[in-house]
Amino acid sequence: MAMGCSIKSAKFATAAFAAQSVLAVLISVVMIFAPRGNDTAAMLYPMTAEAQRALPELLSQRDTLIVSRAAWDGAFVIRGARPSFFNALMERGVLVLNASAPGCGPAPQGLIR
Amino acid sequence: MIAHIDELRRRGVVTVTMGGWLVVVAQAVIVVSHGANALVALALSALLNLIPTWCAMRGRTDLNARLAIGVMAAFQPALILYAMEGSLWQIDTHLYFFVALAALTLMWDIRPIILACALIALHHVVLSFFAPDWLFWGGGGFVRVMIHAVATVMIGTLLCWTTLCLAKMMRNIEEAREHSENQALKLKEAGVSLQRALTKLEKEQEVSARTRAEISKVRKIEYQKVAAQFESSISDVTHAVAATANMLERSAGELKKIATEAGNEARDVAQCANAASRSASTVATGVAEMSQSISNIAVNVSQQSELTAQATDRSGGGGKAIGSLSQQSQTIGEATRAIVRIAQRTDLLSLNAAIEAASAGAAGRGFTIVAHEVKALAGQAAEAATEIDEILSGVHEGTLEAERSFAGIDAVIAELNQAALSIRSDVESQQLSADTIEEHARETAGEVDAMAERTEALSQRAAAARKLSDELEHAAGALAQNVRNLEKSTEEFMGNLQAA
Repeated sequence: MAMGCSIKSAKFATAAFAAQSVLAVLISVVMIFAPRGNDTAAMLYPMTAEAQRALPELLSQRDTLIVSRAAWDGAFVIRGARPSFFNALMERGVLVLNASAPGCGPAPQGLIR
Repeated sequence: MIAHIDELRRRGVVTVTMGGWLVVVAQAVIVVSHGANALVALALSALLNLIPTWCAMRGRTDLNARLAIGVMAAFQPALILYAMEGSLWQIDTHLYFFVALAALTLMWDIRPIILACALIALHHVVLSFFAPDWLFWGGGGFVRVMIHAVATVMIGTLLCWTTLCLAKMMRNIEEAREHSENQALKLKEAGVSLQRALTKLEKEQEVSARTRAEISKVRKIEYQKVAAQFESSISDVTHAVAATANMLERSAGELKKIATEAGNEARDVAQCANAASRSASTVATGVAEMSQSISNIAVNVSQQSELTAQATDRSGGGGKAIGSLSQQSQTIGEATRAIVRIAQRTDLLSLNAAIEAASAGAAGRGFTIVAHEVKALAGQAAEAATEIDEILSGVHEGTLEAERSFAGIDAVIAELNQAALSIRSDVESQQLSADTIEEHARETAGEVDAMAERTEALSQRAAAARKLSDELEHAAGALAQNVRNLEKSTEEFMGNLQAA
């Protein structure tokens, strides 16, 4: 039974280390892809159809300027006032990303005409 | 006191985790000073502390926990840099990477240090390509990143070497300590064994003492019970025996009294019997004597009858003799008167002689005396003859009276003869009765003698009974004394038994 507990504990420890590793990767991703506080450009990516329908409302803000379509389908690169990362994600299902992060820039043909 | 390297690691996990939470606090300060960008860093920093905190709370020090700590230590300074983006102090916060690496020496393992070094170097290199502004505000280029990476590797190497040396030293210490602990453990086990043996011995002694006490208690209770029963039975027995002894003593006394009274009465009866026997013997003797007397009386009566006849004859003869005597007395009277006359003449003669003697003078003085004597004799002879005459007169009267008496005697003898005949008849009857009485008297005397003998035997038995009752009384007294001694001994025995 002690051996069983030891094995179970070892599995938990391994899972904990794996979770910590995943968390580290997530942190790295967040650090890379999350928009900075002083950034004016950001990429808005709707994660659901509802978010895609709500996205124009976010883009219709007065200080928001749509720069281009993003490389990702349905995403836009904006400049100016941008919604809060957590609020946009939680309320509208829109992911606000760092526009300068790899892959998050405007699509080559994405400039809005 | 730190026991071994695991304890150091446990403390290290706690310390580094607390350092992680200090970073969270710092991130909160940065949020206040730099705004919302640090809020994400704050959240991520807190998330990054969760698993190390769990490990610290669970006391986990295994390799995975240590590696998780290493990951946390590698990324917390990065989050500070992330939160400090755009600040002039951002470049200076890189020093906290070295602080984090140094803190990982508390894990007493080079692998978290190596992991953290690798992660630090890796994310610097990666970010130098993807987000150089975030890494070094204003950009630093690959060379700058490499300078930081080489420094990080060097510090990591030195820390690993130091950690290895410290770990080796700690293991040596642990071995020495383990050896000493083994020795101590052996001593402790020996002590425990000894203590266990002592405890067992004490328990056995306690059990033995308790058992002895219980046995003693049970035995005492049984003794008391037996003593109570013994006392009760002895008391009953002694009381019964004492009562019996008292009753026996009283009975002995009464028996003695009765025996004494019986002895006295037997003695009295014996005396009475003896007296009765003597009286019966006397009666028998008297009856025998009476019978003999009756026989004698009968004989005497016969003789009387004969004597009566003879008396009748002799009475006749006596009458005749009396008649003859009367005649003779008359003759004697006449002779007596002749004597009187002679005396008178002698008196005259003496008187004449005296006259003549006086006439003779002195020569006749002697003759005068003789004359006087003769005169006196003549007077005396006259007086005697007078008296004889008077006697003869009386004899004559007596003879007359005797003749009358002889006549009466004859009549009386005749009646006496008749009575003698009657007496003879009665005597014969009395003889028969006396013989019967004598026979009964002798039988009575024999029976009285037998009764006297039996009464004597009874008296002897009464005496024996009195003696026996004395012995019985003495024995009862001794028995009562023995009962008292027994009660006293029983009380002492009970006292000793109850005190035992």
